[in-house]
Amino acid sequence: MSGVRAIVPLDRRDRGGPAQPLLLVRDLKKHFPGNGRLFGRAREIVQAVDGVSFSLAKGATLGVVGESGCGKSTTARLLLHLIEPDAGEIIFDGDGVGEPQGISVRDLRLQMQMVFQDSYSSLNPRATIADIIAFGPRTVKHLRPDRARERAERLLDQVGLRPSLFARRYPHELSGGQRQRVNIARALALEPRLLILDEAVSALDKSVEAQILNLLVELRREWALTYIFISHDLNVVRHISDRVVVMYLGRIVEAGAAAAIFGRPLHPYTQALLRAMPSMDPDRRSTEPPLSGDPPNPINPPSGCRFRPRCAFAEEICAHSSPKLEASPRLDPIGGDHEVACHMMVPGSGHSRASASADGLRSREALSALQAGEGGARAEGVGR
Amino acid sequence: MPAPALESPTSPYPLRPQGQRGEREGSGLISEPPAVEVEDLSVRFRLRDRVIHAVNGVSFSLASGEVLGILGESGSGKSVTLRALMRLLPDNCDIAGHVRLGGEELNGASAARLERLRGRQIAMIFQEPMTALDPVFTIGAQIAEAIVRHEGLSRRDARRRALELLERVQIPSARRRLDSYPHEMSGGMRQRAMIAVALSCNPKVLLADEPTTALDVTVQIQILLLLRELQRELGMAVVFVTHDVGAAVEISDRLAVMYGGRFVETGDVRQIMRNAAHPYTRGLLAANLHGIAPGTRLTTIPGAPPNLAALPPGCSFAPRCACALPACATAPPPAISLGGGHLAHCLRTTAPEPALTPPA
Amino acid sequence: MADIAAVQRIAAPEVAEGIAPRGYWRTVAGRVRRDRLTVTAGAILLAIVLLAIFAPWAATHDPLQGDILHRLEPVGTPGHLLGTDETGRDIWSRLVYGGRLSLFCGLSPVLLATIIGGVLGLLAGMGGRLLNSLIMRICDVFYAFPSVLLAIAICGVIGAGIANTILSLTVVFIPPLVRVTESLTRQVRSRDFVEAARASAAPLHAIIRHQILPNVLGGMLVYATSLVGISIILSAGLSFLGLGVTPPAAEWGLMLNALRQAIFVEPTVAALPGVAIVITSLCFNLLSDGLRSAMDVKLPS
Repeated sequence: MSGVRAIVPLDRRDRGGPAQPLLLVRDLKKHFPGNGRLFGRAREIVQAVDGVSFSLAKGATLGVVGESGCGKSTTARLLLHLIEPDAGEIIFDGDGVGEPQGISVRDLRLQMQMVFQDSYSSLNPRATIADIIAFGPRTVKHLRPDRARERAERLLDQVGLRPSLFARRYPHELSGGQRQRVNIARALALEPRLLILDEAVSALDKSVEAQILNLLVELRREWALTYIFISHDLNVVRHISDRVVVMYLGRIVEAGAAAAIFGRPLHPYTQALLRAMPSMDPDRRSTEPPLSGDPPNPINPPSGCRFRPRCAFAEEICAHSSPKLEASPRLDPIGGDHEVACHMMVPGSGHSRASASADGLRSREALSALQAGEGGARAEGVGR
Repeated sequence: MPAPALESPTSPYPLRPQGQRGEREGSGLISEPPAVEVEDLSVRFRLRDRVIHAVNGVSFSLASGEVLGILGESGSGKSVTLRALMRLLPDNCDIAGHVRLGGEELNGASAARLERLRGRQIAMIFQEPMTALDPVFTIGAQIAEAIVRHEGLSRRDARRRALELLERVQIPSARRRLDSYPHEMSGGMRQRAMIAVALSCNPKVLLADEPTTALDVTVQIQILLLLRELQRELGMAVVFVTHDVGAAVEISDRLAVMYGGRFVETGDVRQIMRNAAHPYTRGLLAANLHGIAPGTRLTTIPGAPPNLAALPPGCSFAPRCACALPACATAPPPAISLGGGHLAHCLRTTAPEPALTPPA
Repeated sequence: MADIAAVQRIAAPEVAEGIAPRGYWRTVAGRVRRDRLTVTAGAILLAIVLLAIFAPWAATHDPLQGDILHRLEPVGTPGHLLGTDETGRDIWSRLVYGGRLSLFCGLSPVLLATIIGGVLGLLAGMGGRLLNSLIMRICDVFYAFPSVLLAIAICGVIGAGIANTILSLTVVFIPPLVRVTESLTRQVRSRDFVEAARASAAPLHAIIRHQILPNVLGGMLVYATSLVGISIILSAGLSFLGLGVTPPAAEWGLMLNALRQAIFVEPTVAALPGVAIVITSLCFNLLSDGLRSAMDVKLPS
């Protein structure tokens, strides 16, 4: 199941119809000053997010994968303006966020909400479950307390928690899976159109994770939601996403339909990521790690392509210029804009493996399909 | 008989099945006692108002050079089992049953004896390296200290051994890293440093408590492969606890699936992956998202893990089991052998069971 | 909605029916109740407070009326259970009435400082770097002075009397309360549920009221309770030095000062006000300690 989702019923707040992307992000940037001195120029800059762009269709689910330091959580917070972006545009259903003619941050938050990772501190320990869920409607939408409570109880029902049992409980009395359901209910309390799920199932046991994923899929259908699903777990992202972007050190290195990314990854990092997933077959165990070293520190990233210190194919051109995230229709017969940021994929870029001819490109495809074969097979369970 | 595999361990002993009160199938060269032998281990935590039965009758034996993976979710008792092997439990614990390391019984061992065993015979690595590494000492100093204490080498020799160890765990620029502090190293390197500390005195048994859970996937595979290599080189017995099926498959020779403080299924890793018999194991594997078409409804195990303070009298999985029989609720099912050392604690393994269908 | 039934079955609750939800404060109350030392201290304090409130009924004599002929009677004299002071006034009655002033002068500064310091601390914790620096650095200036010295200095400038005592002690206690509140606020502010509240576009005052305050109050309460013991001693000290309550009012510190000369004549009687101060202060400290360890609940996850 890939590609754009089928017909989605239009929300009454819809502005541009189904063809207009719900979210358009252009060149989003956020740099944090490092531990520089107060009165001197900060020498270190943490380039947490450095030029992220993507578009998200209504009703679709975008998966964001990457390892630590890639900037995916920072991106999520930038989208909601929990952190102020340094540069870039966020356009929600045709309206620029924070722009005079566009949509205010407050109104944006009424339509875009976030589900946090289950942690001990994701729910207010001093409030009851019903209060936690009713907080938004009461203080933002100014619902009467009894109405807000009704809505809270209805939401509890929808996420699979019996209101009579859970409404008056406190977070510490609930299990991880139950707390996560409350997190989801809280996010839905303001009736958003877009949900950002930041590692929403990462802290859960696998069996509970499956329950929550089922719930998320159901709610997506019920409420005609659009999701951005952030996770380091490739299997989960593959299961729930239509499109996937792969982030590395603050940039997107590859973007495309989920089937394309997992079936025929083109960027060396994506290929390594997929090959790094543990094998499920005891007779076909990994023999060599696909990448050496740790995910890098976002402080003072390398010039040019940020992946080159760990890339097996790095050449001089990679240090001189950063590859742009570009689509090539010829690379992607499946359809759905498969974009890659790699000099090897751009004919005439100066990289020895980038061929200038179509034949070269096709053999390049074949080679990457072969390289991805192992990882892809693991991702899809072929050959078990 | 397990089929010969690409990655068979270089163990001098053929794979042994789980021993369960005398059910051990003998194998050839038993002149040396098993590296770890656990018999009917039970651990109870005495709290103010209730008793938590964390581990309930776990038995297994492990030969040198074998890797046992204990697979379980939170609350299954896997970490407590591990800590019981090293007697690293708090005072409000009651430990029953026998634990033997290289034939030596741990019950009633003096504190001094236990102190000597830890590090020399048996060592442990953790999920969070900073649990094991002292932030105020350099890595080299920590490794050297352990060597000096346990083996009585001179400081210079100990430092040389420390350097060897760092190289062995594949830390780049090992000589420089000898004088680094833990906070100066990245997560993956700290994990390797912790492994070096654990191996400093050549333990015969290595206990690993989810060492790769907190790592990024590209680092995780590096550490798993490193552990496999080291285990083979040094001929250690390893008990690897995890909730990640993939990690368990990559590293284990044998698997034990744990639920509610008991082993519900044990056997060779191939047997379990291909022919899981216990409903919980099957549910766990099905929930793993592997080989499932995207977007389809996942088969889930309904309900939640049992309350360890109030375990049901029969099979601890029965309340959640789709194919439970009335007999399942009366007594914990015995181990049923499925041949070749594959054991399942489930009454259904003798009768044909219905396939686990997704909820309608 | 077809699968909600199935979904509900999935969420098999471990929360059993019929068991009342246990909020944080109920858990704390339960733990305090089981702590015998704290309960004893609380009981003693309650007795002292009740005696002070019901002084007119508890006292046996007029605290201001003394009989010179019967001055410095020892403990156990019939009619004057705890003896008489240097002008013949009944010690018991003066202690009981003195409790009113001593407790009042001890508790009110802490109460006022908690309110003012709490507000300032919240502002500093929630505000930006500038506001935070402003408030915290001003507090640091006050921190440079030892509290006793500061109290004496302020009273020395503005004069003696109950109101001035309370004022000076309030000023002494504001900086530590600001610091504690600010630190707690900063911690709570960084937690996920506050970020979630921000993400839901809730107005700042609602976030402070519902998310921040309930999580900060507990810590503040513990700290404030620990200050009461000090406050009682300080206010008694100020009266002892003549900077607080003026004679002939009954107040423990003042009584100590007046009975100083009698220490060689009737030492037990002379020590009694001191004993009262020590017991009260000690009980407040024990109560505060007990609260702190009861509140350090590792809530099961």
